[in-house]
Order: sequence, then structure tokens, then C-alpha cells
Amino acid sequence: MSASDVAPVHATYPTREQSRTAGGRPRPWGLLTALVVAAVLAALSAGAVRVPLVGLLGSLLEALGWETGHRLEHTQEAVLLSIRLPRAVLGLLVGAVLATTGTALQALFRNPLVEPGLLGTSSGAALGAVTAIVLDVTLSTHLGSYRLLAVPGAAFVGALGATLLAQRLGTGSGGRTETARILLAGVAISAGAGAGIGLLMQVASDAQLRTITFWTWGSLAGTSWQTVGVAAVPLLVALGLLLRDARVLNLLLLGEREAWHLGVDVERLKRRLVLVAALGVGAAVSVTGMIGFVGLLVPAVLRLTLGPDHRRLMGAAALLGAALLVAADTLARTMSTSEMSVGALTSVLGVPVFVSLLARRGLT
Amino acid sequence: MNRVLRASLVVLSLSALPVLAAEPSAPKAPAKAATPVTEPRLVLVGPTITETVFALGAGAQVVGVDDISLALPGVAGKPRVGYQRALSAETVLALRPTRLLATEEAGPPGVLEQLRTAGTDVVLFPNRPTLDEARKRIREVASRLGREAQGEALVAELEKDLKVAAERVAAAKGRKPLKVLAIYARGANALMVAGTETASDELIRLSGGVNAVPGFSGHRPLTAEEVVAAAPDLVLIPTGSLKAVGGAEGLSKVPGLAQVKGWKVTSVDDVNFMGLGPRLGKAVGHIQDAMQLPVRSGT
Repeated sequence: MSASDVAPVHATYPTREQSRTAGGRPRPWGLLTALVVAAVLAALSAGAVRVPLVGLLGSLLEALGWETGHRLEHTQEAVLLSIRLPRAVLGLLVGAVLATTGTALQALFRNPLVEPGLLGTSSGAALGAVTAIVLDVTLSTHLGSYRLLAVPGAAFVGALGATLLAQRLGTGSGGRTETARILLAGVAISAGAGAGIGLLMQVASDAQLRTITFWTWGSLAGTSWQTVGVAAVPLLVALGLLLRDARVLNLLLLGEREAWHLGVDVERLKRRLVLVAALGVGAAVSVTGMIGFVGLLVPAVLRLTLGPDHRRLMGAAALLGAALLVAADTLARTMSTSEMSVGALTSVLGVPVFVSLLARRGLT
Repeated sequence: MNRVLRASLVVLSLSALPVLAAEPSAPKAPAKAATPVTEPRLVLVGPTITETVFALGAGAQVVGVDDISLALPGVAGKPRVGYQRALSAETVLALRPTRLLATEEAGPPGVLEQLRTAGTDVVLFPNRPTLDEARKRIREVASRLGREAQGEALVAELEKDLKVAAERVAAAKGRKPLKVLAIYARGANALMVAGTETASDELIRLSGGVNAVPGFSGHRPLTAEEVVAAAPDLVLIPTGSLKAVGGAEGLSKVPGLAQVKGWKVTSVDDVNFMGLGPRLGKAVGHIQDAMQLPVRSGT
């Protein structure tokens, strides 16, 4: 049984759509860029601490050697530069990576329901993180000042490990990677990781339980430039590799055999995409916790409005994902006195949209 | 690094220019009115810290407390900064604090780092539930506030309460110590029992009782059979939890406790379950009253 024989939801991508390229579809770039800029501006200006724009401009001119009467107070400057700005930057990167990964995986598996979580990546990361949280006391004696990196590090290892395992299990007898098998393996690994987390929660202390709860729902709170520095490299690498494969993904939509005949090394492509997804999503999840629905919703909405051409779809997904996550994080930060978890928020906002799309039969 | 930050600020702000033009005219009063404040503005996270600061008479300097601290007597009305493990840097900074006093539960770590970067003096105190730590914490909080004398007075008062408690224990020497089961409710039907290395365990020990379930450390979900096997004489429960389970009557219907006869119930303030504050001696005396330990004359 090869994956091309299975072809899960072939009807999803009518060949008629394939021939219909740029003409007639809206040009997305201006609007999407405007969305990203608006989201970043909102993220920088909204929050409990008021940062007046006059002061912002004054500080800015002063930095350029131009004295004006107005400048930001130390607290305001710190809020802007060391709280809002790194959060916005990380939000842009993570949102872009989650959305493009979702788009690429949906193309790879030719199934609009695939999201990064289905490969076991997220649950593997969660298992790693929960293990590190529960072992915190033991680890801290060995790690010293690197203790803060223990949870993200373990999450990253867990994400890669789970995805590699899924891919390994998805390799058929002939050495061929079978997408349906990878998905099955991913589902099994997710269940296993979930069970592992459940067992670890039995031995966790009350304090650890609360930390686990907050982690599994994802948040950008506590993002520092250090976090951005650590996560930016894998995130940017993953994003670059994914965007580069946009054209090949179009060929893959024709079917694996057809793509192979058109000169695509399908086997290598599949392996690479799964690994890149693990790298990007692993890096994202390890610094933010689990942020659901961005990887599922953004590709779905965009495919409806832009059509199936991945040369536009991938770039558009990066922009829309970035704007969406930054906007959601701004909401999470400003809605109440405590930090809301942005993962819960994206899911709360995403589910109605997704359900209404389903109800109108727009998705498939 | 700073130069990079400023550069990125430049780029981002330039993109903000159109918005600035649209803004009518930003009010500019607060930026200039800011004069150097001598009195520290305190944000407190963790009920043991809050209780201590208010007991030291520094309540007027407090500009914000965490959600749990808000339930303490005399604290109501202070601005809240959210749940202690999910603090939001901006909510705290909006109160313009100069110092954050917190127990080690405060977090997430990244937010504390952000607060430090923004110029807030972040001071963390250990919250291990032992009497020694409690004394040390009172003294350290007092010295941070420059109220050493009040701190010593508070410790002296605590020692006096504990001395009375120790005398009551000594006077009851012939009696078999009571088995105490400490319970708190994490939800309607989620009762947790306290094992060793908890604040309630230390209270039980100081009261002259024994923990009915000494087999584990920290808090665990209550299992009915364990309670039956432990056969407690006294149930210790936070006032809030007792209300949540429907009072003594509701408690007597809880599986496990329903099967054990002859126990009594006593409630202490919720804060006593979360750490040992300056009034732990009073809580101990209250538990001893429930145990009906003899009271020496003259105290």
C-alpha cells in the first residue's frame, strides 16, 4: 500500500483549480502586510503601561541626536523595548512558522485536517517539558544557571524525538515513506505521550501541576531578548526552508507518482518537510508552550480565498499567521490583570471560525 | 545590544508615524509631574509576604497584591496583580512599583526578569514551611523595609505564642496526641490532604498533634480508604474550603470521613495552609483549643 494509492482527500484539490493560477484571485500581499504592521503597532502601543506616542517619537529623535522636550520615562522605555518588542518579534516568528508548517503539511499529506500536532510533535514537546518540570529539583542541582533552559530544551528534544519516531514508523518495507503511516504513528505517539504526561502528573507536586497547566496552554509571557535569540535561528531556518519548497508542493498536489515523474525527489522532499516541521514547531513549542489552531486555521482560510497555489499560499500563510499570533497575544496581554494563555485564546477564537467554515462546506 | 534595540525602535516607530498623525493630541501631564518618590511603592506576591508586610505596619506603602493575598484581612481594596504563578509584567509595572516582594512561587521566571529589566527591585523569599524559615522571613522582610524593630517585635510576639503553645503541649503530656488530618479543597469535589513538609504539617506538630497521614510529602488527592485507615481525631481545614464543602455537615458526608466516627473539625485562615506567616502562633493556639489542650493560668 503506497500513500499515492490512498490519496486521502483527493477531491479536495480539483485539478480544475490547478490550472487556474494568479488571474482572477485577489492579490494578497498589500492587505496582509498591512495586517502585520497593524498587529505590531497595536502590540507596541496597547498594554497596562501607557506609552505615549509623543514620548516614543521624542526618545526616537533623541536617539538620533535630536533634542525634543518629550521623551519616555525609564519604565516606559523598558516596557516597550524589553517586554512588548521581544514578544512581538517572537509572536511574528512563531505565528509564521506554525502557519507555514500547517500549510506545507496539509499539502504533503493532501489532507486539510493535518496540523503539526498530528505528527506527534506537540505532544512529544509536552512530554519533554513536563518531564523537565517534574524533575526540576533533581535537574537544578546538576544544571545550575542553565536551569531556565531545561524546560525548553527538553521540549525541543521531545518534539524532535517524537517526530523522528513517527517518520521512522512511517517508513514502509521498501524504504518508502508512507504518509498515511506517518499520520497513524503520530496519532499513536500523541496518545503515548499523553499517557506519559498523565502518569507524570500523578507524581507531580501541586506547584508543578500548576506550572504544567500553564505550559500546556501556551503563552508568550516572559519572552526576553534571550528567548528570541535562542529560538530565532531554528525558527528562521525552518521558515526559509518551508518557503523555498512552495513550488515543489504544488507538484506534490498532483500526486506523488506524478510529482516524481516531473522530477521531484518525493522521498527526500517528504523526509525533509517532516524534519523541517519538527525543527520549526519544536522550536516554537519549546519557548511558548502549545499554541493551537494557527496551523490549522490559517491554511484553511487562505486556501479558500487564494486558491491552492502554494507559491502564494506559503508566503501569505507566513504573514497571516504572524499577524494573527501577534494580535492574539496582544489580546491575551491586555484582556485581564493576569496573563491569559494565548494558546487558549487562539483556540477559542479559531474554533468558531473553523466551525462556520465547515458549516458552509467551504473547507473541503 | 542596546544600539540594536534602539535601531529596531527607530524602524518600528517610523512605521508608527501615520498613526501618530491621526492621534488628536496626546495628554502630556503625567510624564512631567513625576517627581522622585522617597517612599518605596511595594507590590506583594504570596500571602505569607503580604501578611508579614501588613503586620509590620507597612500596608500603606503597598500598591498591589496577588489574588490570594487579597483575601487576607485588611488587604481588600488594594489593586490586584493576578495569580502568583501567572503574573503579567505590564499589570505590575502599571502600578509603578519600586520593589516587588514575593515568595519563590512567583512567576513565570521570564516575567520576573522583565520586571528587573524595567527597574523594579525584585526580592524573592524562600517559602519552605518550617518554623525557622518563618522567623527568618519575618526578619528579612522587616530589614528590607527598614523596619527591623517592628520585625523583632513581631518575632518576639510569635515566640511568646509558641511558648504558650509548648507549655500547653507539656501540660497535656499524659494524653495521647490527637491524629490530625489536614484537608483543603481545590474544587467542589477535589479534596487534597496534606502530608509532611507542608505548612499544615508544621502547625500540627507545633500544636502537639500528629499528622494522620505522614506517609508522603506535599499534598495528595484524598482517598477514602486512606482516611478510614488513618482514623483522624481532628480535621483541620481552611475556612474557605470548609464553606465550599458545605460546613461540618458537608464534610461528614465526604467518603472516608463519613465512615470514621468521632472526629471534630476546626478551621483556620486559608493563608495558614499556604505558608507560615507571622500569625502562625495564633493558628497553633486555635488548633490547640480545638484539641482541648489545657490552658495554663496567666496566659
